[in-house]
Amino acid sequence: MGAALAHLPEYLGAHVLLSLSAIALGFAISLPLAVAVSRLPRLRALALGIASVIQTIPGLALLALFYPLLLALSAFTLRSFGFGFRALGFLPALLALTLYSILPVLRNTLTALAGTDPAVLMAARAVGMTPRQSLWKVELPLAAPFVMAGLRTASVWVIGTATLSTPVGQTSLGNYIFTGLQTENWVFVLFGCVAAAMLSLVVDRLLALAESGIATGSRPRLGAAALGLLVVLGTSLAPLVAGADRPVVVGTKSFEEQYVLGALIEERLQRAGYPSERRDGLGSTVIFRALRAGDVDVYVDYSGTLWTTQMHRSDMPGREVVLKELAQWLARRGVKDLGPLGFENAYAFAMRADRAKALGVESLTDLAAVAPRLKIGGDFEIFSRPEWQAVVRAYGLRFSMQRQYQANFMYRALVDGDVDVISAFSSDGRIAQYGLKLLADPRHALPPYDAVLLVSPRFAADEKFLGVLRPLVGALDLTAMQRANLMVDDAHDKKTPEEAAAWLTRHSTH
Amino acid sequence: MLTGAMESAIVLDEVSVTYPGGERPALDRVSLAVPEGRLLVLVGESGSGKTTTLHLINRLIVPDRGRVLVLGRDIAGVDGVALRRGIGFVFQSIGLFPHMSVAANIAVTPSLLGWPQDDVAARVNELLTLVGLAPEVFSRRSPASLSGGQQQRVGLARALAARPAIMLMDEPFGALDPLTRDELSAEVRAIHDRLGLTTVLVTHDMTEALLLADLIGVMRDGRLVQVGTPEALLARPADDGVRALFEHPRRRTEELARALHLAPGV
Repeated sequence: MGAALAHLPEYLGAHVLLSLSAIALGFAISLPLAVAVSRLPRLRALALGIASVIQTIPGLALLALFYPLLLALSAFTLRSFGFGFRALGFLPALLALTLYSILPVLRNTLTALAGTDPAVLMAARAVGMTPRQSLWKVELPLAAPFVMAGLRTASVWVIGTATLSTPVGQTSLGNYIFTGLQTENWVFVLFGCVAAAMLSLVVDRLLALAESGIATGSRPRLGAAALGLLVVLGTSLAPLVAGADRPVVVGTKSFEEQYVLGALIEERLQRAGYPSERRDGLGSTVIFRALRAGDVDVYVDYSGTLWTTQMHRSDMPGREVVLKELAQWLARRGVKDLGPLGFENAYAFAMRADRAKALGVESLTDLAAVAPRLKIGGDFEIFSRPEWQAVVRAYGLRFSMQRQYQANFMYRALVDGDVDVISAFSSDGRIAQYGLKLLADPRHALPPYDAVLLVSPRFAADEKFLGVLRPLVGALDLTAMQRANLMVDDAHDKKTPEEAAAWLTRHSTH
Repeated sequence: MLTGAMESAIVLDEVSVTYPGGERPALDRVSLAVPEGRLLVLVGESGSGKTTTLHLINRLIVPDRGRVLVLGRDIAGVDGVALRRGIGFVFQSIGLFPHMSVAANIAVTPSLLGWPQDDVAARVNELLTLVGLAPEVFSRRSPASLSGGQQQRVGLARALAARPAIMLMDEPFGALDPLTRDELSAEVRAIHDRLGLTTVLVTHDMTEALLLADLIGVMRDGRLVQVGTPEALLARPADDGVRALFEHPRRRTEELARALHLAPGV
């Protein structure tokens, strides 16, 4: 609870800034749009149709789609006009949420305008108003309460959906939820939900006050609502304004080990006087692109992952060659590979020891023989990764069923017998905890997965900066990493990633 | 054929209107002249073209054929908005602006015309008094808080606000209870006389037409069947249809007279 509260000013501030900007921008688009198309039946139907379709796109997907779009746009502006912009974080989240907020205001305004009493419209013409005067003096004022109601709906949607902007690198109250989900810290998840709900509720009540102020023409109510919104905005944004200097951005993917490593890196940077911030829970392709674009400055990736997904290599020349070629490949792209941290987090297929013994499975070759009767569980990535295709090809694997899980639920599913095999991670503390059997890979279908520390082009030549991080290279062995990971996973004596990182610092091999 | 057109405030000359998708014309070669200062009542069944005729005069509708002259000018070349600011318009559903106070409703046209604030305020008070509503009681009220009769009085005041020479009234008393209706129609006639207006009023109530009108125009199927004073129409109806139209109020009056004579104590 204390740990959750410590993050509140940062998360809440970012959340409020993001959602209110999106609501304001959305309103600035949807109201004029509604007015513009209200008298053109075809465009009206088109605008409503498009807004409705946008609404049906899942929030997370809409947010995710904006990242590659902006990245391409940024590359284009950089080439053509000499400037780029950050494609990760605030911008994609803002644009996606803005689109999301358009429909309620658009629909309500159009409905209200279409429903204006014909007698009143006739009167407006008869007293000598131009169409524009009729719109501004009569139709819009009469539609105002409905417009406000639409704005309230939009606000509740946006504030709720903004929690999903964490995976595109925008800090929000969703950081509690995503971090909590990965580390099974349910207090964090609950805290994030409650905080987002409370914010929604407060903004909704203030807008309701404004709505009734408009409907009854009460200036005091309108004033109170405006004041309330300003207070919300002011208090939440104060901490953001305090530190405007662009900090070092530490990125993490969406599993415990990454959070621990993120905390470890951040702790070193801060001790050396570098202000830093985190972009947590990024997808593994997104994070590498973000690093190249300078949206993330430092993170830990795994050699095999880059080898297969970025370099598109399917040959397995051995651990040393992979590391060497990877570093060269990265250098050509301006990315600094500081080197391996000292442990591997490989994809490895795991079974319950008793089940493996009963089926007589020791290796992937043995597994292939019984696979058609078995169910396999994986994380959200494995089945679409080249490694999986390589393994399937090498061993001719076919399972009766494939299921995808959040990493920590995947272990639960294996232990409970919901699936027979999972795609585990070799550095995961739960392999030892549950006594799981890792299957051998005699045909070397899977590449090595050395954890490597990567630095963005911005700091690639900054020796002072590199010097701060270099002591981490070769400092973490597998046992230490497994234990640190287990600390965060442990349901009985749960530690925060920061605590696990501090433990690692004390027990690292240097 | 339109003799005395110069003294006519409103002239319709062979005007035809066909609505989009309409099978037959809503108005078929209608010619009509309303002399200045007179009150013309248009009667006829629903769909006979009364309201269309009215809307032609302030250019809410543009004719397909024919000319409309208002105060001697062909309005085909006149901006409709400017024209309407100079013509009062009252209609059955009143159409007060619900988000504005009574005073703001009345002030609409003068404000659009850019009158100075003080003149507008003085005019609002003057008009409220004219239509029988005490300014200090009513000017700040909202339309929703008024009775139907009070609302139509405000509607009337709003139509008169910019000192129009011409008033168009489309069943102005149609939605009111009988007592209010009689009271207000008498007041409308009085105001018409006092301000020297030229008024065209549409109704389907023949008694009202006979009591109010200087001239009555009878419409049927988009055509103007007969125009004349109430006496002329009663004495020399153009056809059986016109005769039948006035037969009804006459019969009712006779029945009423008989009933009142027979009633004890009268």
